[in-house]
Amino acid sequence: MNSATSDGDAENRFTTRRLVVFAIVVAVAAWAGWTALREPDLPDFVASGDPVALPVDGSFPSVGLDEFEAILVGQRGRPVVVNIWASWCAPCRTEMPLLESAAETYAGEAVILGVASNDDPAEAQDFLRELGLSYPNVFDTTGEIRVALGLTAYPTTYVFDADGTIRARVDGGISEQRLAGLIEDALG
Amino acid sequence: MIDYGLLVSVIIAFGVPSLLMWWWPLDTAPIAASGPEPPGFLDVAVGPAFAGLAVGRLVTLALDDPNSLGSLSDMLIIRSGVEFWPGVIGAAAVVAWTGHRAGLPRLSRLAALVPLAMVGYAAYEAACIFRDGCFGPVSDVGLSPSGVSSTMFPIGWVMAAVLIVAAVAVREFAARVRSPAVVVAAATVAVAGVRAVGSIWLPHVGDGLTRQHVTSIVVAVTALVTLCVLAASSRRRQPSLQSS
Repeated sequence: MNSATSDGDAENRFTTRRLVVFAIVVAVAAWAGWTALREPDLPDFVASGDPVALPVDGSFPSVGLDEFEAILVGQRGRPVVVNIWASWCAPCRTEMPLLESAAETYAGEAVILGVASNDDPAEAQDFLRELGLSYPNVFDTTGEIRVALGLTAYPTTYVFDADGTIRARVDGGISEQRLAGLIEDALG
Repeated sequence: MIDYGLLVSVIIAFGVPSLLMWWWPLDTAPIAASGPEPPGFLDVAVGPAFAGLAVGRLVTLALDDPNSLGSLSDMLIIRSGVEFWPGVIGAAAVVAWTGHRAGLPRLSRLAALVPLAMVGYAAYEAACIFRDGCFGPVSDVGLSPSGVSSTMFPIGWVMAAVLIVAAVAVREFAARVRSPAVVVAAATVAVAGVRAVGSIWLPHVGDGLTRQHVTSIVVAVTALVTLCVLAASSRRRQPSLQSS
């Protein structure tokens, strides 16, 4: 009799523990799901100034915000994908071959522009050389570019429309599906 | 930076099969519980899942970024990619090994887990809305992932629906056939087939097939050939058993 009662108590405790764990997991999942579904805020950024051409192949110029804006103005008429990276950031390194592939695939239709920020210029240069990238990259000397774009994570990728407005922002590494989907959509 | 989309997807991928166990209890013989309570899905799936994650991540690093192979911090950034099939093989090997250590036939524990694992993977695909958004071909009916103005037909949801049907079919099939190897091969054909076909409509950079697509085709064909060989050999064995 006593044994049956203690078995019943143990069973109740086990069920209660399961329900508590289940409720906690559901709460965490709901919170994470709600956070994941929130649209990232797009920065209030519109490039202005006189147009400037993209950096020539193999160069890695240090630029300020004005020069960066001038480069974007120079590309009006086609979508521009701006990828902010740093040599110390592992996901940045992982996604760069994908960006290189996109630069080759959409050559002439869309532009991929890398911006190294919050980094040592020499290390960033070595990083580019090691990866053998062909798409243009610039160095954010003053940090103004990342501030203007409201950067919160490395890497972050921004997609600019052909008219220069920001249409998408991806915080963290970008997947092939998403990059292709965003570029194709921007190309119309 | 926490990837909330990935976090909620993983919770759903483990949570759905765990709840499903109310209706689909694990066959306790091949699972061979060590304690008085029958094992839950998490008891038998979490260890192999971590092993699979580690194997899949290592293979991704070896292929895409070999310089990071020695860096623990780089390895832990799961969001940077996990190769699917090497991960599945790693997880399956751990399940088979633990089953073998428990004195069970080599693939029986794996075969018992397969339908629930398929449902877990289906749940992960269905949770695409929390990750990158559910991409697919541009269509009048569908969803608009963040930053995309056109609507796309959510291929991940279709894959999830087909995988659930396949999981039910594999479970029914497992009740009829004796060979766990046949069950595992059939499940592999189903999952690889769904991934191979689904990949056709997923946006990708360039004209060629993606690595994920190619590996799924190779795995589907290999598993199908294995399934045919196993089925043929079991058919050959049955008449000889009857005649003896």
